[in-house]
Amino acid sequence: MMTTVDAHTLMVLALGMDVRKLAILRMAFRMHKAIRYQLSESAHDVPVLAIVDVDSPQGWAVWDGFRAAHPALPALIVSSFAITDAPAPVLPKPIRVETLFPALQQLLVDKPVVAERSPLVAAQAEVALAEAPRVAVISHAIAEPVSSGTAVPALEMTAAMPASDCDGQQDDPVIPVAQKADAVPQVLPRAVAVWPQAMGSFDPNAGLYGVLRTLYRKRRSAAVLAHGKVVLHFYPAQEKCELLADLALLVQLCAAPKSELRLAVLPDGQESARPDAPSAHAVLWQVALWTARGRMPRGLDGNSQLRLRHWPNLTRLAAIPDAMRMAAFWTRTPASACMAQRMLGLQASDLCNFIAACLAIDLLDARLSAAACSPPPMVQPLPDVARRGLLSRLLVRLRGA
Amino acid sequence: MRQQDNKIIFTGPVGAGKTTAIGSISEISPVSTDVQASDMTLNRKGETTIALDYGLMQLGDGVRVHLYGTPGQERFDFMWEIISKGAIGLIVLIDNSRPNPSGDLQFFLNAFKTLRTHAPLVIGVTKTDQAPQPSVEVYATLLEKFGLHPPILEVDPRNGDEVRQLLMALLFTIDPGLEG
Repeated sequence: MMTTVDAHTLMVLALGMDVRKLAILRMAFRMHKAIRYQLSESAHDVPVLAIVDVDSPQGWAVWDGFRAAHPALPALIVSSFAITDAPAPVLPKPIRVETLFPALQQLLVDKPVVAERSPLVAAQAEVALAEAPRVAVISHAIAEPVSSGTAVPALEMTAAMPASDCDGQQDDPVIPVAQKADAVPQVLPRAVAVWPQAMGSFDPNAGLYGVLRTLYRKRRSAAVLAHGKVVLHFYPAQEKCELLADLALLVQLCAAPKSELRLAVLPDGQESARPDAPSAHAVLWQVALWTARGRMPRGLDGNSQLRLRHWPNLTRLAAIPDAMRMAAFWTRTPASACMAQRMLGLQASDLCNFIAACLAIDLLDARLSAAACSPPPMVQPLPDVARRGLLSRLLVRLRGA
Repeated sequence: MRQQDNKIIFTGPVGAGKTTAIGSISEISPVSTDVQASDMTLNRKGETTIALDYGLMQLGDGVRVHLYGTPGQERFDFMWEIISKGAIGLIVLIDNSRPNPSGDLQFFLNAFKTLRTHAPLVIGVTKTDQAPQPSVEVYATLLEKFGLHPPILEVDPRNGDEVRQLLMALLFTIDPGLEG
């Protein structure tokens, strides 16, 4: 399978890393704008640089195998240990983006790239060099860890970025080709998802969403009336909800948060839900989607730190595009919506819908944070070998089946 | 096992739906070693798996994902470690209609703790139409005590789409940014 790349992407071969390190490296590449890097994940890819981790169980055998297969490919060695006679520049762990990318650029400076199989790639690399700002030289065989005096926390293989990346500004605006006809070809920044500057919001305490959410948190059963008519019976303790109105009316109520809603005690004989009634979660989730419509619950913003206590039961809830990615991401680590968008490349509206839905079923731990877009901590890596190509193909197979 | 071969393990108690789940997504007729049950298993189903179930997904270019279902009975637990060697993921199916499904979950988490150290875990809860409790939230609370936050999804093993969602959850647990 050939990895899809455009003409301005530099392929980087990463060796000696497990699946999770590769995932974080991939995300770091995705966020880097000055030069577009992409992990080489197929035998058909033509790498122009390599990063070799010699701390894996195979140790230096990974390097030896790499050098035998790619005698001329510029490479960076990453290690937690001091290496005095390294055969290539060494980047000490923990790796930070502010040292990784300069080191990669320096490789390009030191050894003008000659693609191993494709002259096109070499030309791309030269273009990248022409456009990339020159940076401090990384010394060969660095033994000391990189200073931790920067604002970015030390996180092994973590994609960190400055908070300003989340303010909705594109710091590398793309100049239309027509305006640059006589200029040196430009390495275009990767299309990066940007959190909207003016994201819409809704009041999570108002309307049907607010009423049901409050009842659910208090585990209080009630009949909900709109305009004097009962629209639903809510049984949070039994995890059930009986819908007694047309869905169209419920949608209208969600879209009009100022609708007059009243609560009433459940009538005699109806203190228990019918066994076949929808689950409370399913109704709350759906009401959240009808209410949010791509907007953020008021009180949260793109920089609020969010965490899921556990995965939603997604096989029994209304579909949200990429809900599984978001569930996996936010169960793993606290992060802002802005960061999630950056790392996963998702639509802001889908993120907002997912957040509103998880807030409704009380799965979301959220707090406003001034530390906008701080990088998530590194998760424990799997000691297994890198198999992302396999995983991607399996995902394609599962989706296509 | 060749480099191009990879396996995912389905485990869980007798009757949880492992054989059915593998059959619903396998591209070959699943190989099963079911026999007439002759012990207490008979109370739950007529036939039970005594060795393993096997299914296959082919990804092209000779790359294959093998789907192995373990026998549910404890007396076959000596096979579990053998089967799980080299697996890239573990799916535990829990039959909610059994007397103590939370205990079943803890048992299988413990039985596969070696595999869990290096392979992602997904929990599929089956037969919730017959027994809605314990809910997913109850299982999540239980697992949190072990420091685990795996996907826990209700599934009908007869429904291939839902079994595929279990596998997708497994993949996104490894890498939320996985593209495909």
